[in-house]
Amino acid sequence: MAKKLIVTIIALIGIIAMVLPGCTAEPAPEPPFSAYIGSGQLDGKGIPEDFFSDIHVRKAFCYAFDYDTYIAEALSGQGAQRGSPVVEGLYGYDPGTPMYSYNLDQAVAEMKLAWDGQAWEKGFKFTLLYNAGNLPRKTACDMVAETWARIGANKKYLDPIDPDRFQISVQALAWPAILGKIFGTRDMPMYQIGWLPDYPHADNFVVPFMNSHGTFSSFQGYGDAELDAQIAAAFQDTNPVTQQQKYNALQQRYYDDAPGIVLAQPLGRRYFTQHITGFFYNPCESSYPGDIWYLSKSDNGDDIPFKNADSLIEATIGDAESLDPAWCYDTASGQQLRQIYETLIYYAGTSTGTFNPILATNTGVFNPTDNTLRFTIRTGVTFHNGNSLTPEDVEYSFERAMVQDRPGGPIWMFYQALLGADVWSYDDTTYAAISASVEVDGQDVVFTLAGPYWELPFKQVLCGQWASIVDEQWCIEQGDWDGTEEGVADVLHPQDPGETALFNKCNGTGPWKLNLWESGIQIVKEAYDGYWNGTPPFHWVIYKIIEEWSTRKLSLLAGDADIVYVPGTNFDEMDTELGLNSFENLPSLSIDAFFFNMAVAEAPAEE
Amino acid sequence: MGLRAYIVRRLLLLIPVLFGVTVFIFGITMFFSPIERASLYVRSARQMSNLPLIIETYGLDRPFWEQYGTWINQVFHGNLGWSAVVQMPVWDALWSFLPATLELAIFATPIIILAGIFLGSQAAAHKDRAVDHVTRVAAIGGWSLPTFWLGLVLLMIFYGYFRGLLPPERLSHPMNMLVNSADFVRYTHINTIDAILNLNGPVLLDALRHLILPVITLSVVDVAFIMRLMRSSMLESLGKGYVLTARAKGLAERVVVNKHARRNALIPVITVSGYVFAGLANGVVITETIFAFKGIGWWAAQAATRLDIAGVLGFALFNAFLFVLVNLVVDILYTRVDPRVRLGGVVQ
Amino acid sequence: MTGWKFRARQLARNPLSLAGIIIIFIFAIIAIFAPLIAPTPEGHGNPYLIPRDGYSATPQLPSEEHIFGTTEGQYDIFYGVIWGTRSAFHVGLVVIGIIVVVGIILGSLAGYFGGVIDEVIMRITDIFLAFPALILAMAIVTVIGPSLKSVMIALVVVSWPSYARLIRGDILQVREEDYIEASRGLGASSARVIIRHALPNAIYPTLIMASLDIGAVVLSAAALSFLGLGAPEGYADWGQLTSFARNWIVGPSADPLRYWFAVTIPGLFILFFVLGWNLLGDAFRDILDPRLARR
Repeated sequence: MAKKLIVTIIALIGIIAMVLPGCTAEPAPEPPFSAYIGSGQLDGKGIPEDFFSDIHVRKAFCYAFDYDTYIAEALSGQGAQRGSPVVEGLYGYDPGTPMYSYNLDQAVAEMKLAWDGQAWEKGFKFTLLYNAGNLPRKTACDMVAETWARIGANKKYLDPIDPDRFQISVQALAWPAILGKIFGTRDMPMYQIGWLPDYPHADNFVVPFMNSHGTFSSFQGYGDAELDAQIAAAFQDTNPVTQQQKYNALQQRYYDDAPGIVLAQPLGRRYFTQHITGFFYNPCESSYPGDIWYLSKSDNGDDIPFKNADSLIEATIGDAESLDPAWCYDTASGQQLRQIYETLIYYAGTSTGTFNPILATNTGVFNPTDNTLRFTIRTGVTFHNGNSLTPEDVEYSFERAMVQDRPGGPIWMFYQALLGADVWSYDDTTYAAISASVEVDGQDVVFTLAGPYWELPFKQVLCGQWASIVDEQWCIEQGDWDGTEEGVADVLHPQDPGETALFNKCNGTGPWKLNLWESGIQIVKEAYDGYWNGTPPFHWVIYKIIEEWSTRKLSLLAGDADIVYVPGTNFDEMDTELGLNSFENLPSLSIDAFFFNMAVAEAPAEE
Repeated sequence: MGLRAYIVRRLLLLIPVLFGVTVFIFGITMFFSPIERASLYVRSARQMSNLPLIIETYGLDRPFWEQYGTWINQVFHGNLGWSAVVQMPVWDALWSFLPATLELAIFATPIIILAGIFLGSQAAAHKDRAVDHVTRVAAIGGWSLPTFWLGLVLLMIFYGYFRGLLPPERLSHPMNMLVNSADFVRYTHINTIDAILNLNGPVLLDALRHLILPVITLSVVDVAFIMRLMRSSMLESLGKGYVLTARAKGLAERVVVNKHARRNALIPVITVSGYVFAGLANGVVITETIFAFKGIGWWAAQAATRLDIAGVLGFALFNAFLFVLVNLVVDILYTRVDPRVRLGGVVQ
Repeated sequence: MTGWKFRARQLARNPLSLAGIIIIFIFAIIAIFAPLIAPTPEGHGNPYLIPRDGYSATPQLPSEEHIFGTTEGQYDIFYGVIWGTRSAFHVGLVVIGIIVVVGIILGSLAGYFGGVIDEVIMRITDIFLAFPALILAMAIVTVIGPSLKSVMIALVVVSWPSYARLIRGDILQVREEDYIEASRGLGASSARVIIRHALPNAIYPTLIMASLDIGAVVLSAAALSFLGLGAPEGYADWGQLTSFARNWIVGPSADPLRYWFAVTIPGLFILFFVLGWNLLGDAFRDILDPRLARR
């Protein structure tokens, strides 16, 4: 009897407590098609699939975003508004591109013009999505939602007020799902995504954002053949003056068409301990501490303990994917390769358009009659195993990359630059063509470009880690491509990083050689005594992977790390710490933008 | 039935379990579209242009049975696949990350067991008095603590406030270099054991120093479990007939408790120890992440959230194997320890 | 009614059980009166989304306006922990409720009928138990998308096997008792026998385990939220609030414990909630189940 009563009471409590919170429910989950556009009609309870195809809608949203507050608060002040995706630091950047400003009157005026006034009269309702865990993106979504709610509740714009007229709800999704929605089901009305360049040329940004087959624009439903032609014309212009004019026009076009809300170009910061000096910033190194060759470490004070005098220790997030130069597309791998291998040329100082010779003795002689770019290869350079650098090594490095052609890798840049706009992979071309595109002539290496306009972009490509020079003899000994056409089948299209011979073995000409790679934990490099260009400033260079920010921070302040990756949210806090050398307002070659999906849930343009 | 036959039968039961587990995981992955699964291979924005190619290369749009078949075929050829989250074959990943977790388990388990036994018998011996209440609240309080919270607070105090006193990770930088150099042989990759085998004091001390915080975090949480078990088991055995007899015979209370009651009370605790160890050896995701003490728990969590299917499958297989093994060992132990129970006759 | 009074007195006499009851009672009051304690601002929408006072990343110290301070992103902690109490009850009770029901159904079927049904159900539970729980939960949440609902689904999927097993074991024991035989002899149907006779006796260990596990479920949900796999940012959930504090554990060197409130307060709420349920569960065990050698 007693037991029954107790059980009943428990059950009652349970039911009440279950029902009570459930009464104020969360939004219900998804029906088919696009769940994020409400009713799918312009009736105040949703938006039609092509809602954003009306330019007035887009402009209204551009005017209704508070850029300054976003930058000041969500990015902790470390951002600069831009008018188009072409950001500062890129070749072709136009600082004169107009930008939208936060202006509610204009926003309202534009919205009243949209869809013959129906958009304003009926209102709209849709869902914004962001990838969970990314607070700045959530903030951007929240700001959009709140601004429109405020417009509806403002007597100046709506009398009587109607706070529910413009309803935008915000929802989180895991990153894989977001990716699936952007590139697969295309059912998000607006989305945010960032972009990092392959090489710092305006074309590398314009194409994905504005070309009808571009990575982002094609899934937005933006772009047309005429615009494509303009973009190609800009890229192919060999006259720097007219080329810049064409890019100015394209950036202006982005402002005029407003296919997205350009949020900001992030400005980075670097935090070193007081013991590290010599840092300078090149925008191409926005993802890592840059050229550590110029750094030096000495006891500069007591605020932070001075440890490990012969080592440079970086604590950050993200492990390398592979140490094979032809494989790597990610910045973590790229950073390692920068220290272990070298390229023919590299950016000069803080510039992204002028170069210094490294393994070449000049920065390339271009011959317009046959579109060849000729480099003379330096003598007296040795690899870590003692072999000498020869032009044959250079030729092998490029041909090797092109016959490996790992799916989703960076080598498309070689194909495009050397073999033409139709060639995106090994399957689009022949071995003979690849072989002919890079040739040795005495102490020179001659590249045959697909067009004269490739001269500057290709040089930028040559600065990337995929253009690292490897030792042909050593590679063949490791089981890599043997240099013949018959041997191509053995190395072509590797699936997993571990399938390539150079996955975790390195033999470069750079100042440091690979000592240890403990996956997920650290990468240790040791100074190479035979380095051709001097003595490396550190005997040990260690890249440690510590995902937990607090741990990284404590490592920095305890002197156990010399530089750490600091998340944007904690910039202000780090500024109060003593004993740090910090650098701020470093323009990162990336852009964060909202994209308007002008054709929700439709298939992209045919290839 | 004979012991050998029993063991064989139990291990054979492993096979349908493994099959079920792997099919289930594959089933879950089928909820993801090919593009979502391709996100594992997209490490930078620029690769998004290549999604169709990635999908084709890795066969992500193949039907369920084809993908499963390919995987099973691989496994039978001894290849568990490639774990993209740590860039090594799955088999290597298991062996590479297991030592860290084992090290935590080896140190935490005895502390948990011994502390639990001690607290439990104290609580039982002084039932319903102050000692009982205090130890119970302390232990249950420990169990109620969120691990991540405790870990971060401990780090805050012992690594932050006391600058660098008890650091995270497994070893400090100089020791790490030493351990990976030619002067040190890594027999087991468990740093403390290797340090002893190499007769290297500094490495041993350094490793122990890095173990203190994670082990405390783990122990505080699990002690309650053992304590509670010990307490109830002690109470039960204290109420048994032979204890009454011992008291009647005039034996000192302490002797009664320690010699008779406790020994019998230990039985269920010992058997549970196996589960405690297995639970820890399984990987403790949060502790490993917070202290950067990277073991298989950390690896499995990375694989699960980033859709590294090969990694998840590999870990699930390991886990299932461990589960069956531990159950087997515990069941056998039980028969040894309690003669009333016979093999195969235990009602779970 | 003497049995009931006796038990209740026993419960009250034990200070720990009393403490448990009081703690849970206080939390229940907080949950029920949440709209009064932490009112939702006008026109805010979903009250489970914590209102944001600005967008800046640095947490604000406790002040008059924000009694417990704000998190990263300016979410009011006081509002979050009060409404988070509702989320905690919601998650704990719903998950346990479903698990118990599922466990009862499957466990009874397995235990009572035995044979093939038993084997099949036991093998299925084996498979689930052989799964690494947290990993399975993470995978499920990744599939469905981060939200409290997916956390609940994940925890249900991961936890039901132990209950099925427990019920099954109890039914097996009870099955052999005389009164069951008697019922069957009198012609009672299987369902009737299970529901009216076998279950009531088998259910008490289950209830004990359930009350203990409410705490465990809330902890697991908090852990998943901490890992970023639970409630989305800004949702009123204790685990989610703690995850906001993750980057602020160590404040500036001059003031390392500066953001203590962001870490400690949600953590304390979790701690006391789980503690209360654990004490309560212990209390239930002490009074409801004289057979102490359970589990």
